[in-house]
Amino acid sequence: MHEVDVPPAATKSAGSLRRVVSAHTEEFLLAGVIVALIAVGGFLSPVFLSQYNITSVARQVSFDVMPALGQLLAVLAAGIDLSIGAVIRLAQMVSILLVERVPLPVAFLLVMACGAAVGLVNGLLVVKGRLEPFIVTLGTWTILDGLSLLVTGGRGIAANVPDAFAYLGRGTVVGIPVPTLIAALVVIIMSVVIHRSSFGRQLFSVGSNDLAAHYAGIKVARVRVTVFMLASSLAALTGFIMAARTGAFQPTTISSGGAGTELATIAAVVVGGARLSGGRGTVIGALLGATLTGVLFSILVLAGIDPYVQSLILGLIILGALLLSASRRSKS
Amino acid sequence: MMSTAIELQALTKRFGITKALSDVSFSIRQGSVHALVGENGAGKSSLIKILSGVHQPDGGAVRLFGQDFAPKDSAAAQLSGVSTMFQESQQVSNLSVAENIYLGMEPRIGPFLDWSRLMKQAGDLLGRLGIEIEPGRPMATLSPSEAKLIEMGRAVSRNAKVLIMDEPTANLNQAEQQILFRVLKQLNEKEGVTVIYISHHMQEVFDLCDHVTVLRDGQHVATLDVADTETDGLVRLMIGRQMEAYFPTIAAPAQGEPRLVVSDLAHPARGLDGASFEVARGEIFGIYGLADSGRTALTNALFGIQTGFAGAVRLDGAPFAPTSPTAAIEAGVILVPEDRKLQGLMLDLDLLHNFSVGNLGRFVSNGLFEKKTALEAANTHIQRLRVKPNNAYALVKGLSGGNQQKVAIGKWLNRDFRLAIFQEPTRGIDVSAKMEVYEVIKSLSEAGVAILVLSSEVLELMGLCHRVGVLSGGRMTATIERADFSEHAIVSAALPRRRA
Repeated sequence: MHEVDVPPAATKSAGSLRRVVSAHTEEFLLAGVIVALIAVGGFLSPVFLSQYNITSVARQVSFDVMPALGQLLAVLAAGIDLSIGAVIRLAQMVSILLVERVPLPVAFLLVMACGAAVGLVNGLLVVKGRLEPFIVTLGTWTILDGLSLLVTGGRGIAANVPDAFAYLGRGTVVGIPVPTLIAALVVIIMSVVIHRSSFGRQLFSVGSNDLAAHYAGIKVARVRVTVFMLASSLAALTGFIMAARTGAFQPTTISSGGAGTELATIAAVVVGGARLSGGRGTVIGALLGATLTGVLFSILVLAGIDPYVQSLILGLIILGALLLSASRRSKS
Repeated sequence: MMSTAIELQALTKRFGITKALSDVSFSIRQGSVHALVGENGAGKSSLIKILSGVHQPDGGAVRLFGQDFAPKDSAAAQLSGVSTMFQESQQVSNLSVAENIYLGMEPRIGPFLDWSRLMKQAGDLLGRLGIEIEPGRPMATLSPSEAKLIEMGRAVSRNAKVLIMDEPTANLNQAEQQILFRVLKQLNEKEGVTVIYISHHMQEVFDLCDHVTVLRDGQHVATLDVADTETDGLVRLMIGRQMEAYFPTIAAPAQGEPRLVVSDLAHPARGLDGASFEVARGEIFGIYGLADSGRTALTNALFGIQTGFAGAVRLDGAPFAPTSPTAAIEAGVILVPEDRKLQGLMLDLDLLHNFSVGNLGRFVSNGLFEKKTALEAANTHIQRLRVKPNNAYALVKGLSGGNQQKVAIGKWLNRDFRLAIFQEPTRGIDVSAKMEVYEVIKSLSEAGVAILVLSSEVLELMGLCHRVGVLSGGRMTATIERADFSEHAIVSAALPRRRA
């Protein structure tokens, strides 16, 4: 007996309001947790709520949100992109290498082209090579990090960044960091792409049932390749702005904390309610998920907790969120 | 002699606010084959889940051979002699047939499996039931129909006194069904197993069963002697209303140029060996064939799922060789696939999405999806097809099979098309949904669409189609006009024949 007759809602507006609330319970919950975390942070240390700290957390969270949206795209299409962190690092390196040699717009376009090219390769390997996204992007992750190490010889590189470039990473507009403004713009654009566009409908179709999508006339391969290209491009954009902020690239991040980026993006989308098997997830969820993990880590740092504990906590968050979504699924 | 195997006393089961069964009382005679019929949602599956120990009733009682019977799980039900064959087979595919039959009760020598005795026991059992399957074969190599037979053998090995069969023929072709019926008779007559038989097919009820119980909306409507009833009466009891006829009245198709002309379509590796036929505008052309007749390859060729076929297809006079489903759809061909869950629906998404996905282009302006327009269209389809629930935001996975099939069809109603291919359009759906599907097919035909119906239900093809073509060995071995329809003519033309 799986049939339950749902009577038509008594009034349209009441029905749609109830629908909005019930469809977004998780988002409201997440927002509540974030507010609570901020309160805890403020309680732990008055510095946490200082303007300086808020600005720096906002900037940091922006660097988490953009790649998380890329991961969201991959996950919605029933895939995963493990190469996102490596693309960020590659883009940082390329930005530092180019920024003194070519005009800024050219550097930007080249960096974005690098990202798109990686996504194209990922997508074609998945679609034409019929390989699992997990395996393909694990491969590109390793290759790209190898490439970054090879080019830099494992040594840090730095550039004398032009002011315009530095502004992208360090500047503020009425107190709001420029990276945060860029991330906000990306969030808006991605909301439209994912939730309002025809492409978004195709994306959800492919992620929910790719065979049925194929039989409905959706060009599944094209959707998949586009997804990987968009995900890598968002990672490249993130790397470009990160380079603008630091003016340097430290390949040691590859062997130490750098690998956390992939997991951080997965944690963000999973905490945000996306389902790893595809077809379910929201931009607002990923945004809140990335914000939550970002705020949590800044509190951990502030509380003087061992940085190595952070990756432990990240893993626990991912598992916890997966368990939560599994129990929710079995309930429904 | 006429003792009672199972007696239900005021059985009641609730799921949340839904009453799946209310005060259901009837009894099943020992040694009978007792049919259980009713629309989807009538309470059949709740009833068998209680009898098989999966669910426990909220009220009432069951007596099994005069004893109280309240199994707490399916193992307990089996121990008491009640085995159940669910629609999805529940077997370990990497073990052998014999191991599957005796799973958990294999003969042993000390801690080790007594392989030779296991094989002998299984061989004897299968032989006794007339099942011609080697006990040593890996389960994974069995066809779905063979797997069903093994489940029947397994029930006997467990000394089942009652066997519940939930739509055992749902995915079998006619020949496979005949084998299953033979084993069922053996089981019932020689082994004395009482059978509870759930089916959507009236013909099976009349061919196999001696008693029939009709459920409707969770209530017991009637328990009858099959000898005292006939199809129309039974169907009327199931749907609870008078019914003129089961199938819509099919008008003669408009004469004129054929819409679809298939000439010598061939791809030997895929089992097509030069099939030729024509379908006129507004004609409903049935195609009957066994599993290896080439019927799947035919659909794949016409819908662009596979390419590389020899021969020619013309659609409204123009050459037609789609290289993808997208190309086929753009040329005006649509497919309602046989496995709606796998090929036709996005189960985790809502009705709105599923309806709109058949023609996203219609709901897009400036690259943006116009949800309002799509919602209006979805609501129109929900009304027209009487989809339950009447809610465009309901997820498709929560719908009954019949309602899911309406969605799988409805997604195409957002576009114009010239040729519609229906694969098993009413598989596993209830009577009233079937009739609604037939009505949709009829109205498409009246609008001039050429329609191909591929079905393994002969009666359905005879009721619905203007003509039926029979595929066998990759060729069209017979094309039968409506006036000449007979079950015998269709089925005999489908049997594989020796090639000269």
